[in-house]
Amino acid sequence: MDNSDIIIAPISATQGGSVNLIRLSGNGVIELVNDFFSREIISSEGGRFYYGQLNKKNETIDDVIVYVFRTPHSYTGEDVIEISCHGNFFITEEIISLFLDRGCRLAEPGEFSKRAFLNSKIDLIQAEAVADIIASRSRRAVKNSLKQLHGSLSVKINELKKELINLASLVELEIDFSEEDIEIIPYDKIVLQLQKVLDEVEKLIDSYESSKSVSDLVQVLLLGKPNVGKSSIMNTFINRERVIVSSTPGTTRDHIHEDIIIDDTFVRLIDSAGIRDKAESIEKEGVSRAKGLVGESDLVLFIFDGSRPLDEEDITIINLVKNFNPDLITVVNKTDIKLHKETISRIQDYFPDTPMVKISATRKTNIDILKKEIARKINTLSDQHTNIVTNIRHYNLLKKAREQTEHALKSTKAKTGPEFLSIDFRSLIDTLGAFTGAVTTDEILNNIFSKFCIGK
Amino acid sequence: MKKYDVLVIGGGHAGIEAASIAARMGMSTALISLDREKIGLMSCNPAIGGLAKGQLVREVDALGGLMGRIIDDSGIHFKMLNTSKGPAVQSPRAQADRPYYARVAQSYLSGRKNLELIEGRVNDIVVSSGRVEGVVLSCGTRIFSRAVILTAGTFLNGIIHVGLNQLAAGRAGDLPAKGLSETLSALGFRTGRLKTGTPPRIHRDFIDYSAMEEQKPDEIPKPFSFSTDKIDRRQISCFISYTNERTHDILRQGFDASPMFTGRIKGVGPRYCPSIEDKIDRFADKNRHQLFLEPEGYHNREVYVNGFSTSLPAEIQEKAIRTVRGLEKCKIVRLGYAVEYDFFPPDQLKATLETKPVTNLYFAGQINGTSGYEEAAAQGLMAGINAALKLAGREPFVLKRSQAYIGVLIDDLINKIHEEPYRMFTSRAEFRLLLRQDNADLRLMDEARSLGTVDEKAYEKMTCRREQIEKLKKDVLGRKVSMEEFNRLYNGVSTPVKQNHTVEKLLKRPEVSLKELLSLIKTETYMDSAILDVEFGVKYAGYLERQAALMEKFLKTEALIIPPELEYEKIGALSAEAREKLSVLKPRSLGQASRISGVTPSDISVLMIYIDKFKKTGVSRGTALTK
Repeated sequence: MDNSDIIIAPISATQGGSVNLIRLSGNGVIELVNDFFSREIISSEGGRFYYGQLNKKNETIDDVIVYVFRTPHSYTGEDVIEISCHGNFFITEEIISLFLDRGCRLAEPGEFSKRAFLNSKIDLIQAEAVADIIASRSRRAVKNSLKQLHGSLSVKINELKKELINLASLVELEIDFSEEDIEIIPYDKIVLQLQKVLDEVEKLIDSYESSKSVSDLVQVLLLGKPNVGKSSIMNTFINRERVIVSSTPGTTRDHIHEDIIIDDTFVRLIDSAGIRDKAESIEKEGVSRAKGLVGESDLVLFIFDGSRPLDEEDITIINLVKNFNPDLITVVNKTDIKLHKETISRIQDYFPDTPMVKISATRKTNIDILKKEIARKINTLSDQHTNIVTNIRHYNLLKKAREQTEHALKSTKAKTGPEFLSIDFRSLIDTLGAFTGAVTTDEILNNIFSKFCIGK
Repeated sequence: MKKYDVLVIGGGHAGIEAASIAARMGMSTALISLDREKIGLMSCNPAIGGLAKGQLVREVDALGGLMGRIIDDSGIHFKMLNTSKGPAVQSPRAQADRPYYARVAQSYLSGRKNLELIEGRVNDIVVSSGRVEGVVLSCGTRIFSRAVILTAGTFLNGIIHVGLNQLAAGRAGDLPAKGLSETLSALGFRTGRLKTGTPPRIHRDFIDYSAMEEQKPDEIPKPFSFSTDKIDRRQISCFISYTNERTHDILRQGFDASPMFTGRIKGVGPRYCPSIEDKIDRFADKNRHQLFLEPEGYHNREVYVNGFSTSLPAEIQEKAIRTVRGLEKCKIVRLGYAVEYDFFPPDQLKATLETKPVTNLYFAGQINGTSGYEEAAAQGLMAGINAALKLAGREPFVLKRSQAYIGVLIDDLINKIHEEPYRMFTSRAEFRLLLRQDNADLRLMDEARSLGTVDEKAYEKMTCRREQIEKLKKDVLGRKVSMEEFNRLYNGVSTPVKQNHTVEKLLKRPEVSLKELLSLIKTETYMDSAILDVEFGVKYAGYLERQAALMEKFLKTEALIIPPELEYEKIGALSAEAREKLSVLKPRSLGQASRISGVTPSDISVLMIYIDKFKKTGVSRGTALTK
């Protein structure tokens, strides 16, 4: 809303390239970056670039080129800094986090352009395009958030939100309905519940910190019944590509997922076999977990054994896939053995508009074609930096939630009045609401009316 | 033929304020009611104020309304609620001498310059090319006016239910206002249907008060009005009793003949004010419900059984109520009933309460889907003020959510879809800490002064208070308190200090009060209300700063006015739901738009672009902006 605060976002198109570009725009941005840059840029007249090091507490994050633009000669018309850093996800993220911690705000989709319009840097037609972009991005964001809705994060966040709506209801009850014949919750119970909330928030922060790259990659799921060749396809990819993150140990299988680069994009290959280490067949508990994986994946490679007729297990998975309607490529493996014609036509009947690639994993036939098809699909997927932003945003929200929960705990322990606790709870609810949707006063009142007998 | 400036239809709590303030602002005004003896009648419980509602009354008073003065003159049991909590959530409430309250209201009105009282039934509203011109009474008389304020309460197509018996009525004993609803529908207004209920009234001489809990009034009653110095009327008690399992069993026997459970009542009732049958049905595990017995006056024999609202058949009401401790021998004087009535969904109103379809026609009170005397009074006042301002060619008077509960009330009304009668709660006010009942004068009297509605004596008192507050902040908070004196005064209450500290620092301790600290340092004397204000500001500075920051953000978006010509249907970048709702509700500002359910942050971003474009280019139509 505020047109003068400093906003930041990566502006280079994809991950995995050799260079990433980050833009910051707003009042005081040159002074801000100057604090972390090895060279003095405050006296820069603008329209210049500087090579140097970006430092965080005497530790160099990266060698970068800093571009200085002074108002009005910049894209947004404001003072702008663009930082060109090495094309590594972690570096990009660290730089953005550095400035977020110093009071910058992540740019909303289209926000640089919006400012450009407001400062008369772009014209009406361009501004319309921005409005459309905002709308289309938000639709994509909805798609993204739907995807995450199946994931454990949203489940957790919603549980926490519910807990907090209950707490907020209890303090509102004490204020607005103190004349009713209703039992008031003792504060030590509130403390217990807040402690639980704090534990959960901390767990989420830990999980982000220990595996923060996970959801920033394009996730490609290898799906199919046992023995269709998932592991050999996985190995084929790994043999040909550099392994970036070591595989996760400690399960009965060696590889559950591997991170590779396809077409300049980070891709995480996930072997759905890994989800079956306890279940005998996919129809059992494996199904629900497979559902989760399909829901969270960006792309599914549905693998069939082309040398055999489709069986019940194939059909179960087909139905599951059809239910979710993910981005999909069907892969027919084992072309080195004689292909079963009916199998191929039946797959095409089930998925008429889906690309099909026939390969032999053992002989490495047509693997390039499969890679190309994956790359083509990836390019049509939601663009990368929406994902990054989403995740840095989540992390920051969680940190904010932690701070707010701690404050609420402190206030509760100090026996602060309900009208003040209410402010603590509501700001916490607002923070969590930024993940999965805002909560209004009406929802809190509804909760009160459904649980308590109000009204003399 | 005489032409009035303002005609007010209805003599309830909205009508009284509307007529009084319009006349006070110099408009020639007439109030038309069915029966002038019934002006100011309290048709539900005999109490004014209560949580959040008390704040509304104080605000109405600060702005020059009558409700606070009337209750101060007629109250028989004053009580400040939530005194165990901070000043921000305390609210005054008072029981009224019911018949006397109405008489006081009538005497205020008959003494008002520029105001005439007319008895009659309004059958029709005259509208010509979209502008109101007056009304037609049932006797055929036409009365002309430049503005009309409709405050018809529950009288529009009112139906009263007692058991399976129905009766067309406005409230018990009064005829309904028929015809008006149809007239307004023909003018393009949408109507909805709501329901509310009342409990039976019982005869006080057959109540055994000794078997009940007594609730005493405050020892020193605090007045509602900033113009009242002191209340010295005799104060009497209320009493509390409870229903029991036997009561519930009997009530259940009547469920077959309940107009609610049998589906006869179509209107939606308020969840915060359920009938007793609803309570035992929905909360079956609760084995008792509290009843609050409110006396209706010194001489009035009727007692109001708050908590026993019901529309069950007469014999069930009688049998059930006699199972309550202390009411074994009671006699019902008037039966409980439910009333269904038409209302006009208030999204058809502007923030001034003028209707969108008809110029110079205003709606206030229960016909807007609210419940409560206080909510009605607040709307009546605002409609009256705005009608008068408009006729005088002056700028409208709209209160923001950050200024007053009245602002929250009207903003909620016009921006939300309402499914039950709307009642004020403090939780609805996001700036609750700032909107205290005790600072309504500081918040609103400057406004009232420029409107010309302020009570000069009260205004003087307020400015004096304001000066003292400033002085306390400037001269006293920074002064040091002697360590020895502090430790002596707070011996055993507060941890001893080891050096002299400032007043401000010591005040941060919950157990320390400003008044006590002032006794330790030499200062002039300050009024309690100033001391309270400063103490609150210091003790809760952190929270207040958070509210202030929130308010600043809020005001920024409020200040972004959406050009009324903006054609939402043509902005393809908005979500379909936002397009639809914005087209219907036509919000005035971006802030208002952001509070409409279904309008997302990205819709707001899109709107911002279009608003700025309007400003820059002066393009008056949305078409030029879209593909």
